[in-house]
Amino acid sequence: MTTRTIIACLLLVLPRLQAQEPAASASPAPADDAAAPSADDAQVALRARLLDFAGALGNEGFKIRDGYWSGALDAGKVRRLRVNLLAGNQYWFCAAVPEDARGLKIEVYDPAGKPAGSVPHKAPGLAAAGVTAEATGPYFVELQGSAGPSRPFCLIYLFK
Amino acid sequence: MKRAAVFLFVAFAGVFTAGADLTARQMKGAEHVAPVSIPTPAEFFAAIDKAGKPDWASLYREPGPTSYPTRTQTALNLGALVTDGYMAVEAQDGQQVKNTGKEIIALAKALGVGEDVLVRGKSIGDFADKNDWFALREELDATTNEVRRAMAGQRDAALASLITAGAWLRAIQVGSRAALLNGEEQSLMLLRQPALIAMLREDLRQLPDKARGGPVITRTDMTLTAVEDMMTPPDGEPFGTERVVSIRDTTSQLVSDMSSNKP
Repeated sequence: MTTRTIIACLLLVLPRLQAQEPAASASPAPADDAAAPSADDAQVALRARLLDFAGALGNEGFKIRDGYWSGALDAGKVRRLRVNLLAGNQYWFCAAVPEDARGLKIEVYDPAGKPAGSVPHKAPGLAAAGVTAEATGPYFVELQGSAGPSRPFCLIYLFK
Repeated sequence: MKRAAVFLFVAFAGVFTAGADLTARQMKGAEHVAPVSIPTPAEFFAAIDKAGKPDWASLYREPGPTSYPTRTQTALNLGALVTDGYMAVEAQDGQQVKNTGKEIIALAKALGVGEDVLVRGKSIGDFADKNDWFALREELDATTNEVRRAMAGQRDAALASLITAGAWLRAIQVGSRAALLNGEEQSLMLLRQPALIAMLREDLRQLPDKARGGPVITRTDMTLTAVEDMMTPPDGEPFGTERVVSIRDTTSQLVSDMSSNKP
């Protein structure tokens, strides 16, 4: 391993450390209205892909929540969602972006803000994280996109 | 040499991209989207089942009125009925599911929902006839969200919030009774959900002043405040049976008062 190779590795991973955070505000950023049906064809297509993907998990006893979180994922930025999980339940959080978008990452954090030890799954334009809730309380689901233009995203979750 | 380079790249990538802990500011700034951030009673009951499967049928209540004097009272009771539906699914009681489904649709109709919601009532009955408990949980979730969307479409966010609050107050009432019957710490601790209650209160707080001042919302908020307090013992004090008894009694009082056909 040459010094040049090590530096190349560092240059590839360092941008991830500089992912921009939303500006601090007194209250959480307004959430997209995931309760209203979207006329956006891209969102409909994303949700359809997710439901198709989630069907396999349904065979393992996971139930799909009807609600979803959707919006736009800007390049290099993160979005975080607060969810309330129950101790002992197992969950899968599944997110989709258009298939030609790369680098979608999903991470789940526990009530103390620590990574919840999720089991990752990746496929083109899809990312999923499976977690067993050790404690009841608020957890945080973080989505991060890669470099490139802002892309629509959709997230659903399943439980058992 | 190439393999070593790839391995070290992966190793470095792992070190630099392993999730760092979230800061308090980052957690506080997380978004809240009600249809995803607030769990369904089905999730709560799934956790209760793991802690010790209760006799769900013994936790049923008598059928209530099919109409209420105000829309706010109707919405709160509709939410509570959805929880009754989930209980019947847990009990795998097809007839009870159908009975509750009819009551849910009757109240939804009173709130002026569209035909697509009313059709759900038939779906609930069909799935109950087939004993498709899996589909029934999803159908109840979908029905709740459709009614909430219908209320949002009528620019009546208060009713959407009350449906969710009603569902959870009834769920907590039932959950606390189940936990007390079970007596296991794992069951009791499932009742400790101050963050969820705070979220329900936040939804009510964001309503317009005029809506917030009504008697049903005021009473609901007072109950949620009291329950949140009971779920948050002072440092050093345990969260145990005594607190769960208080939670049970407080939520029972509200559910009972709201389901009586009085303005």
